[in-house]
Amino acid sequence: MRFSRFSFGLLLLLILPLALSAQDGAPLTITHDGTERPYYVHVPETYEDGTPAPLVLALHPSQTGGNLFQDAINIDPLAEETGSIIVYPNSQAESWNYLNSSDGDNVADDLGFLVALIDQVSQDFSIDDSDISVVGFANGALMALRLRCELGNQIDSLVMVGASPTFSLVNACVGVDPVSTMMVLGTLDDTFPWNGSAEFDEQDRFYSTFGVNQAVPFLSGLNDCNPESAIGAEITSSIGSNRVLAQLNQDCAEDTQFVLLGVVDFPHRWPVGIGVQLRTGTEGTASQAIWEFLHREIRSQSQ
Amino acid sequence: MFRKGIFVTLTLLILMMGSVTIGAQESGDEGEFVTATLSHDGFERSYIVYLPPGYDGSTALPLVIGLHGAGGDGAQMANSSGFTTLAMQTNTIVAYPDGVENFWRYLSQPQVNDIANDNPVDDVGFLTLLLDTLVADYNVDESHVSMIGYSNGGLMAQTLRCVLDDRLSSVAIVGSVMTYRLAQSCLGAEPVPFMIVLGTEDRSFPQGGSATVDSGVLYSQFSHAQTLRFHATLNGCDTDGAVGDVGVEGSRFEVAFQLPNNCPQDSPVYMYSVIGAGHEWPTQVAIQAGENLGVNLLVGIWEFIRVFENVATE
Repeated sequence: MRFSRFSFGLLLLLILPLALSAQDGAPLTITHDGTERPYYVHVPETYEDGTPAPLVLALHPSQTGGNLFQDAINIDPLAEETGSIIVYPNSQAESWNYLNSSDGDNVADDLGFLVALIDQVSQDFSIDDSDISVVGFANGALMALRLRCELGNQIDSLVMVGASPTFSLVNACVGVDPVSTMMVLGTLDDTFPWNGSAEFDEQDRFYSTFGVNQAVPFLSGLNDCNPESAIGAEITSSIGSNRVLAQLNQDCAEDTQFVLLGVVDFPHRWPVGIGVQLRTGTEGTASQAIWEFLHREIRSQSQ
Repeated sequence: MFRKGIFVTLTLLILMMGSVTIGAQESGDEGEFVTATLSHDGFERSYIVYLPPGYDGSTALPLVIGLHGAGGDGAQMANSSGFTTLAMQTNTIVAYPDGVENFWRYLSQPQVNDIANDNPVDDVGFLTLLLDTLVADYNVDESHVSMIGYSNGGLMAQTLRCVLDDRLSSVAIVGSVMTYRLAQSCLGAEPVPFMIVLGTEDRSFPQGGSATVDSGVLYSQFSHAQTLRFHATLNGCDTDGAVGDVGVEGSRFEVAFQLPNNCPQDSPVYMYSVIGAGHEWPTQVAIQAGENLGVNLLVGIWEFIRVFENVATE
């Protein structure tokens, strides 16, 4: 039974890639580790089969799913200009098992699933394998960081929104390849506090999130960025009323970058209504800045 | 572990910062200093013991172990901390041990404490043996054994807060934070009344914490907020809590006080943030206590560690 369902799904994926664009809203699935894993794909109208497109993997926070995240962050319209495919997978449990734990409540092999998913999507669509990026919010951002540490420079860029690294994730990120990284955090985020947190979870395991003063040297340190080269700026914009504390470092290994967008007086939310400076020199939204960063060609344009 | 919290109004003690001369077997109205050594793990370890005036071994007295900062030693802490005067006034024995090469190897795993790769120092073992030795040599009230550490000594005090959680009745750290690696040795540790005193402009232990990655190893100091939350969670308190201004006019610095909510009554966590102070010993800093009377912050630290009783050792 499982085999036949899997075969049918595979068949659909293989022969009907273009039809997928019409299926926005309905999940596709792959079977991984004995479990059917749903994911949602957004294919822009500008996508052309045969022309390699950037791939953006977007990872939802806890207690939601790919489709709800897709609706909430509303970045699909941005894909038209870049022709990017966006994939919104579902975690198996209520959250992503970013620590790849084999005991506890959540033992899903999310890491293996996401690796398999990238392979699957790369078979189903024409993907530029040098332009595969991952963005996540909160728990999804931790999963994105885990994927970045696991796959190294197979991932072109990472954007963590509403999250900062946890101490428990550090061990998975030892000696990894540099990957361009952006971190977006509100100074009033109570889930990932600006100055970090440190406590124990229900199982008496130590759980601590980095404060910005720890996250910046850690994430930029993974890219061997020269701390002396970091450029800081405070951005105000006519688009939103929030101020943004920005830091950019382009003096990093293998032409990678590190960017921090600290949204002043902003809570634990996707940064809607926040204005920033875009790579083109014009004003734009934080979502646009994130989108630019997720694309190698735009990111490499000088600031 | 069970402790009794005795919530006394801080008495207005006037801290006299007059110098105290250290020497072997000096005695008099100001008490007596004894210098001693013990052998541990191939090292001859030295320490000073302060015995308050009139100590004759007939009455069990509270014990405080003071751990100096990097570059200092026990004599320097005895001379300049102000605690000797407080010990005299409160009839307390104080031990001031010396770190090897003026430094505490505070991580409980010896392999990461090596001085020069081939010279490991087991300071957890030494300080545990020191406590045993002091209890054997003097009439120590084992329900009142406290530790106060400054800077590197504060890191050491936190390791012992976790390793000796059944023997310490309270711990205070000054100019020190939790670190990522040190935190690992605290998993599952029992509550111990804990006080944190930090300058908001401390550059050795910055308010926002720090992180560096060297050869793939993370070296990270907790932020002041993380340090408070860590100890609050360890003691079973909520991670949020009350914040208040406890500054006093005429103090060298303003002081903010944080108390996490819902701490066990016998194991609270206090944090004093000395606003504008750097990495320094908090002299001439006054806080509100009792009925809005100003007391020296050092008196506040001393009174905090004194009031808790470790009932488990009775």
